[in-house]
Amino acid sequence: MTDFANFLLNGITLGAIYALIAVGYTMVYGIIKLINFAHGEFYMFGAFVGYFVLTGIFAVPPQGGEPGYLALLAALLAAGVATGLLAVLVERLCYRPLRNAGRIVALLSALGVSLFFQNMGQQAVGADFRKFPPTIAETRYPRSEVPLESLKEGQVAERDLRLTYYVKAEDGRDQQRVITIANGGEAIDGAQLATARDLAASSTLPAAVHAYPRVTVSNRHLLIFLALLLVSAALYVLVMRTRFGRAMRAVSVDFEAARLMGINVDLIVSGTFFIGAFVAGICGVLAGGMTFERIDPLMGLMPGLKAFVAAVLGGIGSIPGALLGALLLGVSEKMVEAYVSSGLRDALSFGILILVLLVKPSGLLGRFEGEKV
Amino acid sequence: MSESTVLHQPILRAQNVTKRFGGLTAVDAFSVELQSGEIVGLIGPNGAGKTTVFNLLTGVYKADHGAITLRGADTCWLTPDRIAGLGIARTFQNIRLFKEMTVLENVKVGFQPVKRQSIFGAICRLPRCCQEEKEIEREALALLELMGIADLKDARSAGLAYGQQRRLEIARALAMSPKVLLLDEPAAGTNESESADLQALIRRIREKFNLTILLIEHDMPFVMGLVSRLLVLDHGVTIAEGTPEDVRRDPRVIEAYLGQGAEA
Repeated sequence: MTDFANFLLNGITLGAIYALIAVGYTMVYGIIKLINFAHGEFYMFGAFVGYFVLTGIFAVPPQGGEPGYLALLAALLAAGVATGLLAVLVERLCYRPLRNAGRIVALLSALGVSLFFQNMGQQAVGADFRKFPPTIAETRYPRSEVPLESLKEGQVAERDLRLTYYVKAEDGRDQQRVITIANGGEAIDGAQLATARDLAASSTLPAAVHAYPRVTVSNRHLLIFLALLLVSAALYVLVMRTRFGRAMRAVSVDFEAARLMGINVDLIVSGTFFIGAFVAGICGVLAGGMTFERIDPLMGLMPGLKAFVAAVLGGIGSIPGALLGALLLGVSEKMVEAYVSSGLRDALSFGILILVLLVKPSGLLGRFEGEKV
Repeated sequence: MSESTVLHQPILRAQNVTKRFGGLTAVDAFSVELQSGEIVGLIGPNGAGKTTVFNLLTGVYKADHGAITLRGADTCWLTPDRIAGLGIARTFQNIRLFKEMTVLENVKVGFQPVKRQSIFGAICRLPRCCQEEKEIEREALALLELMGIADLKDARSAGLAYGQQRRLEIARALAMSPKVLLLDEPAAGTNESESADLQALIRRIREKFNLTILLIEHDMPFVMGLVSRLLVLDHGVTIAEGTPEDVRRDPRVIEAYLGQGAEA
């Protein structure tokens, strides 16, 4: 049961990551009926912008360091804005001139843009993986503090007991470390307890022992949930309650009629690209960087394709659909990985894609769209 | 400029506007001058090029030849949204409402060019935006009231009856505060009493909003009772122009409508 709960939690985290990428996919499709295959590259681009902000401006050493929340916020903002602007540029140069050339032509252009960024990325920063700085210390919740003095050798730990302590890193900053004193249900080992006491005594910041239940969630994952929550709420308000959103919806229903109502459709399309890529960019930092911890120019390929599957599953063009599809896909993947075979994970996703396209192309929450005459 | 020249400057002028699609000349040297406050009719058999004229005036199509000016300003190089912003609003022959949106929202879309709002401000829900939004809501409701469909404000627009959808299109067009309103077959699909109501309604909005109206219509009694002047198109060519009485008697018009040799 605890295993299942952990898998479910991991699945929801993965789903949240897919969701943050899928909303951009689905918004762009909703408005100009383009499947922007370069969207995964926006995610990659965002991760790299975040990386360079952290290692460059905040001078995080290559092997890590935790500059903290302020640096994270700066990295997220920079990644979001830079990625958004890149997307606006891509739309202007690669998609807008093809708007009347047919959907297949624009789709091919999108594929080209995707490959272009993958290869230009490899040229510009190299094809090797880079370790993404942890940025914020990892903390798992829920937890309760236990006084170190109260622990005795041979005592059976009810829950996992871990010591959080700090050492001076090379750059002079305090770096957080964690060791396990005892796992839940085991007796406390004397030597391990002695080591913990020594580490606590030499810790550069106050050390603490915490008891953790079997099912915990990392603060980094909580950040992803928080981001998804904020993004969903902001998009809801934007789309349903503002004039920009109303114009977006009008353009998505009837491009030409919206234009004749005085809506500057080019501005709406640019804005949509910006918003979708902004979200993908911050997701690149939160997920690609801080959760998967390593980045490379091809990192956007798989998450991009998975987000596409999620968007199709939920009904492409629908924002709630993309969120639902992404969460379902994330959980299914983790379940298959846990109970069937990790090798089948990707096969499952693309199997879902084929199945949805065959059986219900409009997806779970999409509406059927007959060809316009 | 003296008062009289201001009065006589046409609000919308098309001069020798020609549009070809491949080998087909859809509109051939079309000219019209709309004086402020006029209601002018554009009639002709199916395929005569009437809707193409609307598409040219609103910038959906760019003319191959000729010039279109709105209040003296050349609109040739402007995009449809800019032209709409300058004061030309229209309805569509085959209704083009924003189907998934509610009746009220459709009208609100029409306010787009009139009131400006930044994305950032909208996200932050600045008080000013909220107030503007309330203002839009009030004005949109007033327009629905005028069109007699205010009680349907929260209905999905696609679910409305045909005549109601046409009225909603007019409300949406009026939301843009146009100077010139182009109505494409507003009376299509209405019965006799409805079309009499619609006539009265069109006169009323012309007065209330100080509009100049160009309308395409097949329903002859409807047009004749409404307009001061008529233009008749056939195969893209303007074959007659004048008062309803003149046009009705014009042999070329009779021929175009009823075929050669027919009696009026």
